[in-house]
This record gives sequence, C-alpha cells and structure tokens, in this order.
Amino acid sequence: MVWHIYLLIGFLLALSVPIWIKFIQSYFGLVVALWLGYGLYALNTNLFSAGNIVWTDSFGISFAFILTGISKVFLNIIFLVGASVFIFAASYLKTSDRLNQFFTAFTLFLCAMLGLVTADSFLLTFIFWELTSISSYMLIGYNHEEESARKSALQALITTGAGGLCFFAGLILFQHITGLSSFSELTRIELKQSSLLYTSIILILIGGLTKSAQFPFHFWLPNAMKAPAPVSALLHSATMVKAGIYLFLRLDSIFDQWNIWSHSLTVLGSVTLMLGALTAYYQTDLKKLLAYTTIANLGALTLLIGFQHPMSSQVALVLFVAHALYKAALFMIAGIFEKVTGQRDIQKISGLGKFIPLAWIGGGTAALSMIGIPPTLGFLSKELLLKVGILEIWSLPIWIIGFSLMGSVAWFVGIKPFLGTSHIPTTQLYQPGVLITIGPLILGLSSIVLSFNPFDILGSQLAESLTRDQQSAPLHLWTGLNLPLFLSITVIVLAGLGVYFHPQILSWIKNNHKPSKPLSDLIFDFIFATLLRIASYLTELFQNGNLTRYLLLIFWGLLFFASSLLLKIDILSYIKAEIASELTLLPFALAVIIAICISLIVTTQRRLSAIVSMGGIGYSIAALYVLLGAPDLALTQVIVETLSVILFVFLLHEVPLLKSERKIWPNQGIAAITSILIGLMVSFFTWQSLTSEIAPSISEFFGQNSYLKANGRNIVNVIIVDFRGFDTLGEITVLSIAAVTLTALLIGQTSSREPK
Amino acid sequence: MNHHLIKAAAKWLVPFFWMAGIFMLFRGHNEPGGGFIGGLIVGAAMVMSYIKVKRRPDQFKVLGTAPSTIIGLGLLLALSSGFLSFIQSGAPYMTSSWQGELWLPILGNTKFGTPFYFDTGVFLVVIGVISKVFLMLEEESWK
Repeated sequence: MVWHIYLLIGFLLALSVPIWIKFIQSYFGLVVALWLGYGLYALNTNLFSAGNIVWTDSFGISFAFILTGISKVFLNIIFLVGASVFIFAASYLKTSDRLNQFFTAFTLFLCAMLGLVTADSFLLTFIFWELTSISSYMLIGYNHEEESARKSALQALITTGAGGLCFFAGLILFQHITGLSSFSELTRIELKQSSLLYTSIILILIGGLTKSAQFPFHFWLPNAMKAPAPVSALLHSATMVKAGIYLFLRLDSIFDQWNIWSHSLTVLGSVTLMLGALTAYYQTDLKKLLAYTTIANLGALTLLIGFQHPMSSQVALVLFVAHALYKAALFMIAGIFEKVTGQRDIQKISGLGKFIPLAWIGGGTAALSMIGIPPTLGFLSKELLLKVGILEIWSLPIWIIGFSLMGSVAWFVGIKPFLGTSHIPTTQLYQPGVLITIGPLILGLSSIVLSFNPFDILGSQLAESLTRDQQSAPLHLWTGLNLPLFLSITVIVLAGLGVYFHPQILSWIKNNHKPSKPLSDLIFDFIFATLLRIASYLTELFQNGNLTRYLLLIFWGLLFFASSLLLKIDILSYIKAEIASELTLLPFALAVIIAICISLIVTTQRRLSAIVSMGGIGYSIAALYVLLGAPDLALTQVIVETLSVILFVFLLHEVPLLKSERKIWPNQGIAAITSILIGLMVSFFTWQSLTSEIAPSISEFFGQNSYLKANGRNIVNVIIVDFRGFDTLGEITVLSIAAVTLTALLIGQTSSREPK
Repeated sequence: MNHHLIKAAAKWLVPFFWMAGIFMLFRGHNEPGGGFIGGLIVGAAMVMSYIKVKRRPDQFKVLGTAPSTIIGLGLLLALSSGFLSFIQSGAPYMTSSWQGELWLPILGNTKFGTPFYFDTGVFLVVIGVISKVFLMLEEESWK
C-alpha cells in the first residue's frame, strides 16, 4: 500500500465522521483504532511504500514521505498510542453529545501528526505542523462553554501558531540559502557559516521550542489540560508536544556543529526539566501533575538532543518511546479516576484497586516505568540516560533531582490511588466497564514487554535511524554493577523519600507560598491585553463611524503619497504652458457652470438645492463628454445622474438636515483645503497621464481591431464585452455583491432599531 | 410624498423606457449603447412602474420574479457565455464566437454572438441591482 493512500483514508475517515457517528456513536473510535492497528502491522511488515507525487515543483513541494529511521520510530509509537487512546475515547466519550466535533478534530489531528513525522519536503512538514496546531485548538477548546477552556485553547494556538510562523520563516530562509527543500537531501551537504543561516536556525529553533513547550514557552501546556482526557493522553504523550522533539532529532545531525543550536537546547532543556519536575511535585490536580511532568520530560529530551555525545540522540529516542507509553497510559488512568469518582484531586482518591482491577494493572505498570523500576522501558531509558549524563558531569544533579521528583509523582498518579480504602463508598462510584481499561493496559504492558527488546524490535528500529556519526545505544536491562545502576537506585530511593515526606513538604509549601498565576502566564496575558488595547485604540482612531473622517483620512493618505511627486513640479508655469494653450470656449463655459454648482452645494442650507446642484454637475460633465467625442459615456452619465437624483429625492427624508450652526473653522476649513488639494492633485495626474507617453497607447490597437477581430464598430462596447470582457465580469460580480451587502446592512440597521 | 405627477408620466414613460433600453442593448455593438446603458434605462423604468403601482416593496416583481434572481441570472448568463466557444472548439474561455445575423425591425441586421449574450448578462445584472437597491430603500421607509 502506498503511504499516500493510507493517509488519505485517514483524512477521509475524519471527514466522514458525521456519517459514522450516526450509526455507531462513539464506537467510531474503534474504527480508527483498527485503521491504526493495520498501520502498525503494515509498517513493520514493510507493506508501505513511500511513493512521491509532485505538487509544486518550483517551490520544491512534493508529497514525498520518509518511512524509515526516526520517522519509523515515531510512526510506530503514534500507531500504538493512537490506537489505545482511540479505544479509550470510544468508551470515555460514550455519553458526550458533541461526538461529531470531537472525533472530526481528533482524527484530523492524528492524520496531521502521521503526516508531520513522515513528510519529506520542508513545506509539507510545515503544512502538517500547522494542521496539528489548528486541530489541537479545537480539541483543547472542546468544552467551549467554559471560558477557561476557550482561553487555554486560544493561548495554545497563539503560542504554537507564532512559533509555527517562525518555523515557516526559518524553513524558507534555509531553503533559500542552501537550495535544499527536503529532509532527505540534508545528509548530503556541508553547511557554510553565514549570518542568514544563523537566523534561520534560530527561527526553526523557536518553532520547535514553542511546540514542545520548552521554557519560556511552557505555559500553554498545563493550561491545555482543560481538554478531555483522551485529548491530553494523545497530545501530551506521543504527538503534539513531541513534534518539536521530532524536528530537533531530524535536524540535530546537521545543526549540532552550531553552538547556538546545541547550547540553546541544553540550557533551555535543563531549565525546563527542573521547572517542570519541581512544579509537578507540589500539584494536587491529577492532570496538572501529569502536565508538569510532561514538561519535565520534554526538557529531558531536549537536553539529551543538545548533548554532543554520539549516543545521545539514540538515548533520546528510547526515552521518547518510554515516555510516550507510560504518559499516555497515566493520562488515561487519570481520565478513568475522574469518570469513576468525579474527582481529580490526588488527596481525595484512594482504594480503587479492587473496584477497577484492570486499570490497576495498566496504571501500575505505567507508573513503575515512570519511576524506573526494572523490568520496564522507563528503567532502560534511565540507565542509558545516566550513562550519557555521567560524561557531562554538570548535568548529573539535574537528571537525578528531575527524575526522582517525577518518580514521586508517578507514585501519586499511578499507584497510590489504587491502594488503601476508598474515601467514597463504593455505591457512589461509577463503574466504567472493561473497554475503557484496554488502552492503558496495552500501553502499560508494552512498557514491560518492550524493555526485553523481544525479537530486537526496538533495537532494529533504532539501528535504522542512525546517521553517519551516531552510535547505537545498547538495549540491555542488565549491564552489570556499574555507576548508572547505582545512580538509578539513588533516583528510586530519592523518589521514595519524596513520597514519604510529601505531606510535610506540601503543607510547608501551602504555608509559605501563595498560589498565584505563573509568571509566564501573566506575561502572556499582559502582551495579549496590550495588543487588544492598541487594536481598539487604532479602530477608534480610524473607524469611528464618522464618514467625514474616513474621507479625510483617505484623502490625506493620497496627498501624502502624491506630495513627493507634486512638490517636484512648478505647477503654475505648468498650467500656463500646457493647459492654457488648449483651452477653448465651450469646455471653459461648462467648467464655470460646474464651479457655480459646487459653490451652491457648499453654501446652501437646503437639501433639495444641494441635490439639484449635484445633478447640474453631472449633466455638465455629460455635456463635456459629448464635446470630447464620447457619446457612450455621455449617455451613461445622463442616465446615472437622472437615476441618482430620483433616488436622492426618494431618500430625502433619510438625509440628515444640513446644520446651520456648523463651525466654519476648523472643521469646514480643513475640509475645504483638503478638497481643493485633492481636486488639484487628481486633475494634475489626469492631465499628466493623458499627455505623457510612457508606452504606446493601446487605443490604437482597439481602434484598428474593433471591427476586424471583434465584429463591432462601437469601440467602447467592444472593449467592455469582448477585449476586456473578463474585467467586466469582475465588475458585474462586484456590483451584485454590493447589492447583497446593502441588503445585509439595511437588515442589520432595522433589527437594531426594532425595540420601538 | 405626492407622486401623482410621476404616476401620470409613468403610464407613458415606462413602455418607452423599456423599448429604449432594449434598443440600446441591441444596437450597442455598433452604435452608442450597450448592456450597461440599456440596463440603467430599464432600471429606471422599473423604478417608475413601482411608483405607479405602489405595492409593498417585497411583493413587487421585476420581470416576474425577485430582483436578486435577476442579478443571479444575469451573472450566470455572462459567466456561461464565455464557455460557448470552449465547448464548440476548445478555444480559451471567453473567446468570442458569432452565430450569425438576423434582420430585426427598426434595428436592421443584428449580429448574435457570445459578446452579445455577455452584454445581455450585464443588462440583467444592472436592472436587478438598481431595482434591488431601490426596493430595499423603499422598504426602509415603508416600515
């Protein structure tokens, strides 16, 4: 099967959600899970072929995909975690009433993610990248009746969207400098140092950092916990936030020679790791606990990628796999707790082990993996990580403290709620059924099974993803009594101490620390509010509903841009030399009539006189057209004038009375000066455009060909309906739209006037 | 407002305006005139015949239907006229194709071809827009 077809089926599934939902309700989740399960099978039996469909050759965009190396690891995890989460969603959302909205966005997100980790061409990657941002916006804001959910969704969209734009700019710059347009070409080149390349690396870096919630862009992730449990389970374990990690891994092999790249990754990674782990430790909300440990883990991954050690990328991949599996399982377990007890506070949930035994197994194994107790993937990844960490000795405390804290958190989320006796009587608990526990079970058990590296599943994939100067990581649970093992035991012991002293520490923090919004949240809010204030100020300035001001602004703008041209010309001598010599009596007389009409309009207090004078101007212009040999225009002008006078008379009662007490200065004075200047400018430019020959006039062509080619002797009409027919088509379309808009405007006006 | 004068005049002017508008449309390709002018004249006729009957604006019919339908029909005609030569010979969109001449009273020999159909589309759109705008404004004062 070609990968394009597989992806296309996914997008079709997303589009056809309403039909599915009608017949099988939330069990649609199982359909997607089947589709993902097939993907997992097909990928590992090499049934997929990458294929290539050219889209826009000139920009180097083509539907080319990479199904090997890092992409394969990511794909496998997305398949596995995705299928589990979709099975979970099928049960979790059974009673939800907006299934269409949820599953459309969720499936769309999943497809975008599959596309993102496989796309070869940069711009295609970017398209999928944005698609994940947009669909996650809809998912985080799923409970859109709550203001906080809407706000969090918007915050996530703005943060990752802004990062996405930086990423886009960075990619275009990179493409421009190197001439490369896809990831598969990257291995072939050696980059030359240049400041532009430097900029592009920083921009790409910002894109990845925002997406992967790295400090200082981490604030959107905990807020995104407003989403329903399946969304958090998928977005914050294997997909959304891992997109940035994927990008770092893809580009690391060519960018790691740049200090800015590796230093930013290590510094920001360690800050994020510490910040996430420390904050997670004193949370009491289940999902917040998990969210902050996700941030910590993302920090760990970034820090690892930033290391120069040839094995570090491989270790990061193992850590990614371990984290995706246990974190998705724990998020689902948190969702189950919420379903069962209606609570998310870890201090209030306990003794659920007997009530939901299958969830106990899934959650327990996942928590073991997160603490790092053998035989689990979590243990394996931590062994490897410490092995690399020892070589960068300064990072060792960060690893140990960060992972100990995460170990304590794992206990609170995945083990403690199952132990002891329940605070709530069993009769008040909701029995969620078996289906909901399948997802966490699969993932929890995979954490154990995969750690033995059966049939070299993991090892072979990692080996495939090796690039030229990387070193593969040995996947053995037992590597003998060595320093990493002792450090690993230290971490577990510290985690145990963390659990033991948790009540004391928590009450100490409660007494000495006032709960407040995180600083970064406040900064975001401030920037956002300031932008809105500036926007409303500008709107007030330019669009206050006063038509006179609109006209003045437009005219001033015109004058401003034209002034540089006008100032260069000596207008008086120009008038003498050019205009005066061609003036004849009749047009001059008409001009005088027009001038009289204008002064009448300006001075009169009566509406009818003003309207009639307007008509007078129109008819005089029509007469001018006749004199200058344009009967068509004259005819049109006369009819238009007649019609508009009729319309005006009809609307007379709607036109505001001309106020006699209007101030002459400054209002009228400014208006008069502006009008005169504009009049001068327009006439000057008209004159100039008629007299100066820039290119041979096209009217010659029209004159010669009007009858020969277009079969008509009326040149104006031939131009309208034939030579420039396409323009006319556009014009009549605009005319129609104007009529429709007017309808909308008037309807809006009447409905606001309704109360009387 | 007192519309008696306009009413009296409309009785005679409406048919005349109609004829003038259509005349303009047909002669447009060779003599001064065309769909736009023709549409304006017939639009004026519409306004006058509205004044004559003075019915509720939303019940007033233009060419037997609502003005927005006329706008749509006109746009559709203009848009689709460009496809004729494409269907006939695969020429690019909006290449003109002429079907032949027809002798018509008063107008004489009149040529028929895609530019003329296009112009008729413009004619209809203009009639529709003028009637629409006018009727909308009337509806306002009717309330």
